[in-house]
Amino acid sequence: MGVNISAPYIYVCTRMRVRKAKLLPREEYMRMLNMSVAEITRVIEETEYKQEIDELGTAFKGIDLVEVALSWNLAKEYQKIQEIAPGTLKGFTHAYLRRWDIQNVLTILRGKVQGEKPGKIKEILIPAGSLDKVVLDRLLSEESNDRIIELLKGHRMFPVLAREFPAARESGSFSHMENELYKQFYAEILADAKAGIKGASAFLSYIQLEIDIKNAKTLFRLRVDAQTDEDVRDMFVAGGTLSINDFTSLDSIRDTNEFIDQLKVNFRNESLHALMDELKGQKGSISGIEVRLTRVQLEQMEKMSKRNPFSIHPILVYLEKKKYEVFNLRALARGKESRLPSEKIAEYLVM
Amino acid sequence: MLKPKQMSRLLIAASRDQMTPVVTELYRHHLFHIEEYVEGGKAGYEGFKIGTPLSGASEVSIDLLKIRAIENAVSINADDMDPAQSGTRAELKARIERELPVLANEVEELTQKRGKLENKVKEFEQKITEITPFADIPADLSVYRGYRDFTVYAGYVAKEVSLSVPNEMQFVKGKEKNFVVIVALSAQKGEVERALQEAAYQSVQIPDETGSPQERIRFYTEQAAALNKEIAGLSAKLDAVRQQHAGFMVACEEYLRAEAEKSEAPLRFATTKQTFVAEGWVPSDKVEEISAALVKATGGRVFVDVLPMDLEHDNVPVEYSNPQFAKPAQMLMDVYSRPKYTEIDPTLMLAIVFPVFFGIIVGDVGYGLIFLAMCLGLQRMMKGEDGQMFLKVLRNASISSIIFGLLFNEFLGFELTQVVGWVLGFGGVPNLIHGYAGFIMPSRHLLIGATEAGGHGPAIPALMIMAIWIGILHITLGRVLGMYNHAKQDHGEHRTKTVMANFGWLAVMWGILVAIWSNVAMPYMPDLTGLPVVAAGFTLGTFIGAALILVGVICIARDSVLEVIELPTIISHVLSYARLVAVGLSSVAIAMVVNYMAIGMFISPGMKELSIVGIVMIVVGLVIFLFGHTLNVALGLLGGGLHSIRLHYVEFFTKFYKGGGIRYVPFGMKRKFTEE
Amino acid sequence: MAVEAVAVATTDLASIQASQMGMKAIGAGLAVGLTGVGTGVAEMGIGAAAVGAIAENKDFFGLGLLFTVIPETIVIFGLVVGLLLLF
Repeated sequence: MGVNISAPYIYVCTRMRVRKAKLLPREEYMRMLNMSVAEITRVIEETEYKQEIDELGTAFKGIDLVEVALSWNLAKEYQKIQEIAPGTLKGFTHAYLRRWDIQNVLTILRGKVQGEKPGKIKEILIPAGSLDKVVLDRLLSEESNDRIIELLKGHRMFPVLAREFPAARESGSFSHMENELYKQFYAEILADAKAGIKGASAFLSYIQLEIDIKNAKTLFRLRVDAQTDEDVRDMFVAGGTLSINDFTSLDSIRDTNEFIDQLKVNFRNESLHALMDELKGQKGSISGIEVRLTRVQLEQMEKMSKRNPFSIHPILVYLEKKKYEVFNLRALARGKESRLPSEKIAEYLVM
Repeated sequence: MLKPKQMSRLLIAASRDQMTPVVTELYRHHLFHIEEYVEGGKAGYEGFKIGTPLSGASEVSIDLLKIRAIENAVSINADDMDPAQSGTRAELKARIERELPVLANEVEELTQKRGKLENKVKEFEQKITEITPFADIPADLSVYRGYRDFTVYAGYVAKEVSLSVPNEMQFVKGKEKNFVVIVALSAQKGEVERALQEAAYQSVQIPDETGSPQERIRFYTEQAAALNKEIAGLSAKLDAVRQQHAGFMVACEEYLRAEAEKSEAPLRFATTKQTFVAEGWVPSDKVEEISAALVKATGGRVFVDVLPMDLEHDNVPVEYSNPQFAKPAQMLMDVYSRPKYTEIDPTLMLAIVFPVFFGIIVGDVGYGLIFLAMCLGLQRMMKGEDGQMFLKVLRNASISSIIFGLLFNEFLGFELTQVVGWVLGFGGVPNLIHGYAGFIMPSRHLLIGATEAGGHGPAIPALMIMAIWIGILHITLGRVLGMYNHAKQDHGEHRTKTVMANFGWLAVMWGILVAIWSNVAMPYMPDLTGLPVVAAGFTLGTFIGAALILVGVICIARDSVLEVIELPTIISHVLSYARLVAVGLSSVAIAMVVNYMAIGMFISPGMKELSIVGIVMIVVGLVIFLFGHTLNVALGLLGGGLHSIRLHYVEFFTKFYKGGGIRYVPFGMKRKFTEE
Repeated sequence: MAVEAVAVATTDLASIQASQMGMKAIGAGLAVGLTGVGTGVAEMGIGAAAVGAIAENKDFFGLGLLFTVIPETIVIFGLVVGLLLLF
């Protein structure tokens, strides 16, 4: 595997491991489940989020303060890591973070359709991809979605956007476009990873894992909302260890136990097998299953990063885990704000 | 001394309505180290859940966030402020209710205004950078837009652009890249764009402006300057807020932090619907005090009990218990790892031996005095507790350097006796030149720039043997402590094995020494070569040594066979103490070279004839002298400190010390700005 | 004859002694220089990791420093050998 033991690699990978160790532990979330939004804000103010919350504390309060602070912190973290990533790892980090372009553009488009204020949309944008703060601000200041798409001319997302947007506007649902964007994204980073750069094989193994898990999530989702008009083949992303055909044939199995057995046959992944064994015979909610699949992915990534301690893996593990920490805190804050019971919120947390 | 403070495990149980008085009382005493309750682990805690915060936690948090945001905005740091009480708790509470919202509004308004202005300034600056490329083209900015049939291209190109279609072009040659503006028919777009692409065209936004570019730039610069003045005014106002309210704000933060910690304590307790249970640790001599206080505060409706301690599984928090002079060394211990509750706390040994090692390495009266002066100076400036501790460690080390400097007879690379003689008027200018036997200790002076024949040079063998002896004794002490620790911590057969293994290491080390002594006569070491020959030409000593080694290896192997491959470390660890001499010698060498260069090569020749050249030479000499010794002070500090502490961490601690004890963090706080 | 021979022998002896001194100096230099390189190579990775850890968490300072200077022993041995050769 692409292991390169030179000082900058060791330096950055060690930093990532230490940062990962500083992420909030499970017990902390358990305690936060018993707290109010203000208390949660204060508790994270005493950790890595201090700078953002202090800076924003005069201008925002309540749930807005948490939301903005989390976004800022995540963006800052991502930018910082892009800066320090050494050698070829920098390129892989950029490639990995490009997914935020999709996320951001879709957030803006959806927000505009729902008539949200630009300020409100801005709170949850993460300027970490190739579109920076300035560009995102320009996009936000546009009134119509057509203009926004036009402004993105020249960006690698533009062809897909131009192709899919009219239909999406007609139907009012962006999910098909989202899917297409991600498919393009994965196709592109797969091409990057196969370009034969030093350390690319480690990156490739990660992308394949992610695509597999993403497809597995789609599988479970398809079993719940049984009827869709769309072609099932269209829903899966190509390029994982399993082909799209494998997934469609898996999808056609109706019996749950048989489905799970087949999944186990197809994947060589111990943590996934363990999860499948648990799922057998019990009916969990789809969000619960997704959270657990995410955990499987994180566990597997953790194993990979132990095997390749000075590769892209430690960086990716941290980036992913940090993302889920921010998601968790956001879910906690939003859940508390809308007075959901703790058990309900806990279901959405990736711990 | 040599042992952490004795702790007792305390269990507190009461009904939920007693939670507030219990928490308040525990917080006030600042003695109870809470053992956090984690759901679903411990036997005997089935059905218990993490508690919920006391009422008011949310409000306190909101206020706390507010105050911290304000402190951040006006940049107040509580660590930099001297402790001062500001009013009673009740007063403070009233003031928080009355003044905090006003203050928050004021600061918010000011920072928001400032933020808006700063954004404006940025906007103007952005505009200026947008216009700048056009500044060299003598055309009004309005001519660049508003065409129906024409397209305007503006941007940077690598080379000149030649177009085959009708166009109007302005080309500005630049240092790195050239700026070009082209107006062409929209119908011929393709042609133009192709030509531009060949010239590596990077487009530039056309500014939405009217008027001459120069004028617009001037206009925006003036605007930005005016805004900057306004910003400065706002910053001054914020500064005034800080001056006026700093005391109140830090007191406020401390008060609120205490309130928040108190109200969130139940999150660390185990609770049921009606009751709660808190487990934790208190110093054994304080158990009575705490229990009595709790009983009093709750009117007797509390159950307090000392639980039996299970030294093998309990994670007992560790609080140092050392005599006053050894306390600063605790900092050096924490840098490594805090001792476990069950093992020997080596702080005292560190506090004594570290300065000695430092002194042996630096061993120079001049440098010692410089370190001491630095410490005393910094002690006034630094405020944090850790910094103070560190400076105290350094102070002890510099005093030790002065003492060893006297013994080594050294002063900034000169001989101390000569310097003293010169200052007092008998004897000439210090002669750095000849090597000189040490005063009491072996000499470390080298023969740098020696002009007289017959100098001694450093007594390297004597110094080496001294360092080796220190190593042997230090490591022996470490192993003995290792035997003690294992005897105390382990049980049964394992205990015998580990104790014997430590003995084995000692036996091997001394066995090797005895064997060497029996075959080679060395200065300052016992000479056993005279013992009777027993067999095959080997003396009795050799056999005794060999026997010791054999017994030692067997003892080590009985505990763990793999450890046997570590045997060479016995020699390398002992030899490692040679750094006490080697690092010291290199420091002396640098000092002497600096002196030789400064005095021997520049100042002395310069003094001979006091012409302009001579004076310049003297000045150059002085610069070399100052620069060289400053460098050597820094190196001495690093070398002396690092190597001394490393000898402890690597060579000494590895023999007996595990560490990994958890810090004793009692529930409560040391108040700086508020009363209890 | 004999006087000449003795004279030649003494100059020979002097030059032999001088070249021996030179060899010793080269040996000492090699001892310090090569062990220095060895220490440097060994410390590179440890140092990079230690600095990385300290950049994120200052508590690692002590242990980081400790691990970083462990290979220092190699160069100290070199220095000892060098000093013993020269004096």
